[in-house]
Amino acid sequence: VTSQLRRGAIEHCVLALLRDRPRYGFDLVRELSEAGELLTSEGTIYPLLARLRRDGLVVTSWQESTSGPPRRYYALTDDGRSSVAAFTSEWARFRDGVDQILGLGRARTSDPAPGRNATRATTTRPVAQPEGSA
Amino acid sequence: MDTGTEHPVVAAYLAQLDAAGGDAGLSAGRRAELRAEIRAHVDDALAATAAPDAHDDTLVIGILDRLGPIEDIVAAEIGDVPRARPRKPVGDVDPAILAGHRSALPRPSTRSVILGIAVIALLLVVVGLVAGRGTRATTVAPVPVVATATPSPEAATPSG
Repeated sequence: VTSQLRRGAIEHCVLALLRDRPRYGFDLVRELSEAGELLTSEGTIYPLLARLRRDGLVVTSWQESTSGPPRRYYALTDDGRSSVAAFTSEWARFRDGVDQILGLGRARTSDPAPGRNATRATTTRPVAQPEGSA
Repeated sequence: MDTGTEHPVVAAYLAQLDAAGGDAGLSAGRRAELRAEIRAHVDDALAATAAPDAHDDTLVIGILDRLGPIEDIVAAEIGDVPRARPRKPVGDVDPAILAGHRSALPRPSTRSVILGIAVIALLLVVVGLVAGRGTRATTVAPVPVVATATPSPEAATPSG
């Protein structure tokens, strides 16, 4: 489950990290790791960044580095910025919806009061029994 | 200063990445980009450690471990699909999608074209034969034939 959630959100997190300034690959990886191991194989960020570039959401430039070979910096385009803005509002709606469902789930198991939820939670009721036959 | 990419394990990792990328159909240009980015990543990761030592096997292997299996990177390269495009208004169809649909339409093969022509030719011959018989029949026995085929009361009545 976590890997699926991660896969769906990771590119948006990368774009969000670029909102303030251009960053290079390892810089992004470090931020994603500190935020909670959002990237399992760090090397897969480069195919992801390549895709974002092909989609026109980021642009790149090579810059000299003091620690070794030149680094490739990634910067948001206008489309990339729009994409982050759209995801930010969609994510809030999505998160609220999931939170609501998860909250109902917890209330259902802890609240045995009769009603719709209690009927749904009853697992001993024979499924095949016709309605009204009892 | 030594860099992490001079470590033989890193060199082997980059060579394997290049070979796997080639097998997967990545272009030479893209493979070169990947090598350059992974090389910079290793050096940045090494520089970020408390005691950078490009000859420290454990340190370098740890960096490669975090980079992940080569097949993961190559799979991410070839299995990508555009997902983070900005929203388009409804009805604004991406021409690339249309082009994709067009190219996805089945194209007739030479074999099926020849087969089709052969079937049509056979049908024409059969139709021609049937039409020929039909024409002869209609010339011999047009509408009046029906009348002559029905026995007239005179013909039906015995003359004697």
